Amino acid sequence: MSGLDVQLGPLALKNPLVAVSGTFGFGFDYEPILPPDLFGAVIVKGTSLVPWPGNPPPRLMETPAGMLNAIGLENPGVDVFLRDYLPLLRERGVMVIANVVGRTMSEYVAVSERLSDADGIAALELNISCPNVKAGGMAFGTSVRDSEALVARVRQVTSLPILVKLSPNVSDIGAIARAVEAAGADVISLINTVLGMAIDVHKRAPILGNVFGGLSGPAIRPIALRCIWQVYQSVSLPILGMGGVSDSEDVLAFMMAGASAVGIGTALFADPYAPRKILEALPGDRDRLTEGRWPIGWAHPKGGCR
Amino acid sequence: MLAGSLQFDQYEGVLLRNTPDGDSFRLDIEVKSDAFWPKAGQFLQVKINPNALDPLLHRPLSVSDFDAKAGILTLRIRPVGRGTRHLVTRNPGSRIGFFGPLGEGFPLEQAGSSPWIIAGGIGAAPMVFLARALAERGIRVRTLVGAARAADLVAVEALKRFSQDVVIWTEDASAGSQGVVTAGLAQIDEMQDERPSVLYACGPVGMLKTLEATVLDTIPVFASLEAHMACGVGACLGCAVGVRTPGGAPNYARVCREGPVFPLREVVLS
Repeated sequence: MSGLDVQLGPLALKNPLVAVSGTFGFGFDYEPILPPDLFGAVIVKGTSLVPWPGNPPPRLMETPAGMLNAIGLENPGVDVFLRDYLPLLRERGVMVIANVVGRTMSEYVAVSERLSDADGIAALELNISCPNVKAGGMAFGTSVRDSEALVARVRQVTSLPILVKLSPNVSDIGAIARAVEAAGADVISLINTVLGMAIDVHKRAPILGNVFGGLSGPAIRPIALRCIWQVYQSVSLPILGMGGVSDSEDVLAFMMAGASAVGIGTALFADPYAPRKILEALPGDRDRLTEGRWPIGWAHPKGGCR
Repeated sequence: MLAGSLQFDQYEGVLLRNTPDGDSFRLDIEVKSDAFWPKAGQFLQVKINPNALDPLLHRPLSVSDFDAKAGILTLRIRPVGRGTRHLVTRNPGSRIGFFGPLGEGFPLEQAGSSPWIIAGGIGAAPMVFLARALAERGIRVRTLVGAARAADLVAVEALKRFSQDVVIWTEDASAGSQGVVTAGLAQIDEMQDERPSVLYACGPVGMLKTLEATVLDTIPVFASLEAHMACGVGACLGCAVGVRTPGGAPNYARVCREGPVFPLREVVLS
């Protein structure tokens, strides 16, 4: 699988496929059939300053061509990640992007500082878009002012590239993108899950313990494409696109909308071999459809923003 | 939770027989691989429709039985949702893809001298393989099975093959004694030599809660739990079950990795 390397802003990825946060643990749960070093980069589970227990069950529900989750960012905390997982990822030569979560701005800053001191982390991804926590998460990512302030504060404490993960649950995603660009972000990743819910008609009650959850999978792919398109037209930052990507044509479509690299998440659950299949099919599909080149932004009218 | 602690692979089996068993179905699947070696209580992530995006996820199904010599895997499935309804319509000859085996199975080494099985409804599915595994160790288990009605009973004949005896309870008295299966434990305090050394349980939450309230103080109970799952390998944290903590602070385990079999005293049933 040579010749698939791609540049995502300051990050040189060996291929454009990225395991997205929350679907791939800390890199080793799928190990027997899907090693972490297969991917261009691995974004590990959202990591907070102290362990978070997550939300009460039920936490997930399958929906048409998708699923709802309300995990609530359960994670063992930044120190456990650094001690138990990062050394193993480093040993395997994985490009690690650490996903940062917090309830307050200070927590995001503190986690970012701890991660920046560690050896073996290529970049930080600030998760300001999780719909499943009551404080932090999407509360920041839906406000232009808070998004900008948070990124600016993290920018002051790290020299690592900063990815900012945006929510589709906003009225003007371009405005959020411009704010985080102004604050010093290096890459924009999107989309996080789409806010949704499910109801049990027999119990006459919401199914998820958290009532609301985040929708992911092929069902949200058109929303992801639209958001990537809008952000590509709004800022000049490189984009890591994600949301329902399932095959290699999806990868090329996301690139045409403006993504430089593409994340895969829920597709792993539908088929753990999907990443292998995509990487096997990509060179041929790229030759066939885009003359062997990465078609970043090609679907946009000429003379657009870029 | 660390690297190297898992061993599973992807397989494709061929459906040999699809046999109705009351309102459930028994699927016998030929798996031609020397590497496939499930343990009692483990489960598989079974693909529903490889050619469609819907239903999207695998279904976590327990290994109901595995005849290693013949290479025949048995699943017992009650069609309750879109995925299971799809699976039970498969015809002999069709291919069934899955990955596994996954999770921690029943602790056979803790069986003691007189283990019992207690199962409700489709919860009897994994117990066939458990009874087989115990029988292979020279232990004949006593088995209690219950269901709302006779048509909801599962795998009774197979359980009889590997058990010392099988006692049946139905709520409408259409088979066996009238009542819920936990009624079979009512006289346990008066039992002397016959007391169970361990209870292996699988069934509805209500049954497990009754066990919690009645026998948990005197008999170790290992319960196989069920949960909706996305990944099945521990990555997504979607199949959480509450676990007891000293101060009562919320904490969760993954049904797919730490389970599906848990010591009943360690989990918080919801």
